[in-house]
Amino acid sequence: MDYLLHLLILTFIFSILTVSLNLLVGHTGLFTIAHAAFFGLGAYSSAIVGTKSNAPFYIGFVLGIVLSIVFSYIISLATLRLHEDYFAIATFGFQMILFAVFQNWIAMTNGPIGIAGVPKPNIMGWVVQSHFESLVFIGVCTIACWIFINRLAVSAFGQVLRAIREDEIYTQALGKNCFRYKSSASAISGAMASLAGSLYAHHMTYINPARFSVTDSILILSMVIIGGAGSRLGPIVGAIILVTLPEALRFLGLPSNVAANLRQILYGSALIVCIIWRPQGLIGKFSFRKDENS
Amino acid sequence: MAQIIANTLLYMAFYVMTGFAFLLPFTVCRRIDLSIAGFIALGPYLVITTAPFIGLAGGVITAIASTTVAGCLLQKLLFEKVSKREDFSQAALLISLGMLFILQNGISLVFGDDRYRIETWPIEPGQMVLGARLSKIQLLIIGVSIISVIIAWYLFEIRKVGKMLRAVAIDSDLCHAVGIDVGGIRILAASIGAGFAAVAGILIGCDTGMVPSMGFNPLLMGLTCVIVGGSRILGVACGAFVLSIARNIGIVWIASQWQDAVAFTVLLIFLIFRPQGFLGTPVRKVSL
Repeated sequence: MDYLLHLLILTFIFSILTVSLNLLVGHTGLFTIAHAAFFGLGAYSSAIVGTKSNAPFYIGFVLGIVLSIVFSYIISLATLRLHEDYFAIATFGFQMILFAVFQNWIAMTNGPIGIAGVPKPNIMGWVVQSHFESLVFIGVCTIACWIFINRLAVSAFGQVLRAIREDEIYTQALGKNCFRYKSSASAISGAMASLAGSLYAHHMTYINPARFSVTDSILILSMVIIGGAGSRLGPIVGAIILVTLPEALRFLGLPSNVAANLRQILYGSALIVCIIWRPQGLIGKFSFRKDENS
Repeated sequence: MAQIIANTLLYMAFYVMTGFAFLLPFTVCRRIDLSIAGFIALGPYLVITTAPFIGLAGGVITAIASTTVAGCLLQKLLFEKVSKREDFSQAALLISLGMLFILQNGISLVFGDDRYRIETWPIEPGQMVLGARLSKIQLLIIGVSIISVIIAWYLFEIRKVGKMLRAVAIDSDLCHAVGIDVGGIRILAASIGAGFAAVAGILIGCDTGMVPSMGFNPLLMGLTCVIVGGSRILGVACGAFVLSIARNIGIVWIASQWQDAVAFTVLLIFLIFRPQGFLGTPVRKVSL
């Protein structure tokens, strides 16, 4: 039972990640491969604040979010003069730098050993202790994020983001400051990923850099693409599938290293199949950028 | 001092090779090809599979040839399928990611995650060359990379096919209009890229050995070289030079585990402040 609850919680956390990434990939058409880095930023902020000081838990949340906003602004400077492809490269570079920091800044992050004993959050006397309480706490956060992103997507702000996705020059000609919109979108997305990271750190009580590598960034991106970029439910469906599928494979009784490889091969194939034959994702209505012929 | 210069040269040799592997798909096909990392790993593993039967030289040739064919097939079967789409570059990036996952884990499934090494010469202390200690294999690496720079420069800058490659890189529609087989040129570029990747991978396999995930870091370094230097053959060489200097000088002041971080900081700085690189012409945000 605890195992199922734990899976559900992981699905929720990954849903926050995919929903926030969807704002960038689906709505704005910016590809980022740094989402796991922001996820890690939040997780490490919370873990370090939680283990090294007596500050209340939300300080870690706030710290992670502020750092994410600053860093995502710096990365989005790369889109200022360049085509979106370069943004992908810039996020790649950032992911690698941050991973190196998680891995090598031993004094702060404990390096590859990771940080253990992150305290459970204490919300005005209510200590989120059991799996069920965690589920409620994280579930509420997830739903709040989902509603927030969906409200944002239909707001005037979201309309401009989609206009940028479809035709940036035209949007600029209408007098919109595209850079400001893009950098705000990436800041919101990064902040939300950092929130997911904080929740993750408090739930697992142990983190190590392996969870925040470039592979995980790619995994989160695949969740969004496979589920359906730009749609409301697509990212959540993607998160559910890609979190539970590997667990289902576990019951096939394959040796663990074979299973891990097969899982990755499965991700890869699913990604390719999706892009070529169903670019709109499993349940999406639109492809993440419209076709030339359509 | 001589040792630092030698190390810089050695790093530069690796970066130039992976830079070339990345450069051709990047400029000609307009896509960020991460599957190159898979090809870097595929090359040396093919060598150790075939070498027992047909000898080391035969194995190397087979590996390079089959990786080139694989690159060609990949371009023909997957990337050309999406090349008409408006979101081509993003679709291609994701496809190459998927391909990287498949190649890397396929290799790991077959060979396991243990480190292999291509047996060339017995391991012996390096020789003194102009005051620096380099092993035979390291001298070979530097030699091979110098030869490939010359070959690539000749192909890309002098021969007609190089002009065609560059023309497609600049404006594929116009090329189509004047009768260049754009699809064919793209396939050629992808194949040459994969071939270079295999060479780079084999050299790494000879020097430090190989694991299935070995391709990723060299690829990112190659990518950094292309961005830092600009999208020309000599630009990549310059980029490799800057990057290897940054890394080797970095060791003097900063602990060696931060080398990667230094390299990617250089990448980010260039992306933000001088995205066209040293020798590149200014990058246009859009082409109308």
